[in-house]
Amino acid sequence: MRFSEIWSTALRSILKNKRRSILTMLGIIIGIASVVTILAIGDGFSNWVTKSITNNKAGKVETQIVYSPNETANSSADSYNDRDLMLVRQVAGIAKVRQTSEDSDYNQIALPVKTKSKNVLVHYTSHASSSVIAGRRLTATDNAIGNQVAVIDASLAKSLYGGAANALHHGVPIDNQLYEIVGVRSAVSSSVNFSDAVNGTMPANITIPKKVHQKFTQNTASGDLLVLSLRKGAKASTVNRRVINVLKAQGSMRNQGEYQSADPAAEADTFGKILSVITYFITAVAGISLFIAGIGVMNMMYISVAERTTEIGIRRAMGARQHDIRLQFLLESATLTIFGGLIGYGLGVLLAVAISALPMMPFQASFSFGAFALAFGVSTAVGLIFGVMPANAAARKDLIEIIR
Amino acid sequence: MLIELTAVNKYYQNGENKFQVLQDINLKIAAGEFLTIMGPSGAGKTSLINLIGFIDRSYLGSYKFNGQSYQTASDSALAHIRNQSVGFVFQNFKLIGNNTILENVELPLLYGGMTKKKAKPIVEQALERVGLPNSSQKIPNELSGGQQQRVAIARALVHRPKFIIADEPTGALDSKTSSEIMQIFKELNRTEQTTIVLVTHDPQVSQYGERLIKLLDGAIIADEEVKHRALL
Repeated sequence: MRFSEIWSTALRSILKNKRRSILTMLGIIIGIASVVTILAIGDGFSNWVTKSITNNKAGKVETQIVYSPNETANSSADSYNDRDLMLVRQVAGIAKVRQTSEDSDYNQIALPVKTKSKNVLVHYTSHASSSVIAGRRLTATDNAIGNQVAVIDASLAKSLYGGAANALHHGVPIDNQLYEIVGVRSAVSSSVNFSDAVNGTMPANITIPKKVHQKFTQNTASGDLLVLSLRKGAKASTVNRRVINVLKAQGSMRNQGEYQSADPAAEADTFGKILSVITYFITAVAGISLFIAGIGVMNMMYISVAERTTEIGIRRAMGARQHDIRLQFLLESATLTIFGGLIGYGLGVLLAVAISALPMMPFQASFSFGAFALAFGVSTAVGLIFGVMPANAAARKDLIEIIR
Repeated sequence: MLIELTAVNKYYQNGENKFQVLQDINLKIAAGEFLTIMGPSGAGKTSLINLIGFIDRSYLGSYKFNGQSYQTASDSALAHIRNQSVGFVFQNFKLIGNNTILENVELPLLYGGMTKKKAKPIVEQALERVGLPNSSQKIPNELSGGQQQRVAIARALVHRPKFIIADEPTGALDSKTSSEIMQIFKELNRTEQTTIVLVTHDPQVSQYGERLIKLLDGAIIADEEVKHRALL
């Protein structure tokens, strides 16, 4: 018999016994669906991690080393000297080392306005500020020579001093220091939110020179942060550990403070560890589910073979070879599990989409062809492996015994 | 000679007892013959036709079909010769219950390598021939016993086999239906010279054939022409 005819025979005998077929498929469906779900979420997660830790302009992976001085330390000293940088540069896996400050350019402070306290956004700039409606702008020179001056917005000027013109040459207290108001800019919308400010330059209620501000808040001295650009393939945690070991042994400030690694992917790492535990767990459960499903398939096929002994006899008498009978039952179990696998894949996709739609999930599930191929391959394999023995039993039945 | 058995013996081993089911059978069947085999239960009728129909090949002696022996043929070769040469009709019809009439009757054609599409008109033709037109989409349970046996006959002749083996084809049918079925066999033999080997223990049924063989305890005790009676 032609392969296509044997297959359509197998297909029809599955459809003729729908309820039993669906129950048998259930194990495969559950197993495949859980594997597909966890793979989609795992892929989505690793895409997200890769994206978030390579989120600098060069597209390179960066990690950070923070130096925090002890209380007794001389805080005016530089956190890293040239020799430190040279040592760090020699650590394997590092492409570039950059010294920078952890300071943010924006800060939200509580400003006393008349009897109340008002939250205002302060911008520290080392460049010129944007245009003003009264007085003058801040300039780069203000920053360079350390003028203790500020530009405030019109609405703040109004609530503090009743108007833009009145505010000029008065003081505004920021971090216990009084800054002279030299300019007033147009009003900043009160709905400004702090987290937006971090993502880009945006209008602030008060703008002051960065250097002046840093002078008064010296405990966060500039340059206590090392940004390490990693070579391709280097592992962030390994490189960080090496750098910290080097600095602990030979760093110029090793006796005055502590070096710590600030891996931006550290949070992702924790999440990743949890996810990989869950992945292993679900894979194990799915494996057991698929194994039991396979045994279910085998059991059903044995029952089917026993029930259809007469059919086998008739087919053999009509000229079916042992090979034809074996193929018929093998295709029957494989078709059953492939159906189960496809339904399971669909269910898994739906589940993964539903899970990534939850508000607590920071990333989208991702679907690869590999997961589909895996679902298809595994379900086919289960059908074939657990179908072989019943199919052989069917093919080996003694025609003389059946026919009498 | 289509079928030629020479000194065929067959034994069953039952525990320590060796039981002889066929004793020194010498039988020649020519193409176009209508042969009836009669005998009481246990006389070896079924063993004999299993042997002739390439179902059983554990025997001693020689069985030549068209001058060729298949005693040592492989299972596949045996399946092939069954498919090409024999049509079976059984006492209890042996139709596949959850398949349609079409799916039942097309089996010999499909195992002969034909596609479903090509087989369908041939099946319809065969069904018409046994008096069951337009019933190909029914399932066996919707038909009466006589109709089911007609389907089985259609299945036995659809692939134009060299001979048809009918093992008590009327054993499960009433006498009126029996004679209808036997008329079909008679027709087939007369109009198309189909070789028919029919087993029965009903003397009425044996009168339809041309030649009658009587078996007793595995041996042929009579081989005679049928004197056609008035009922035909």
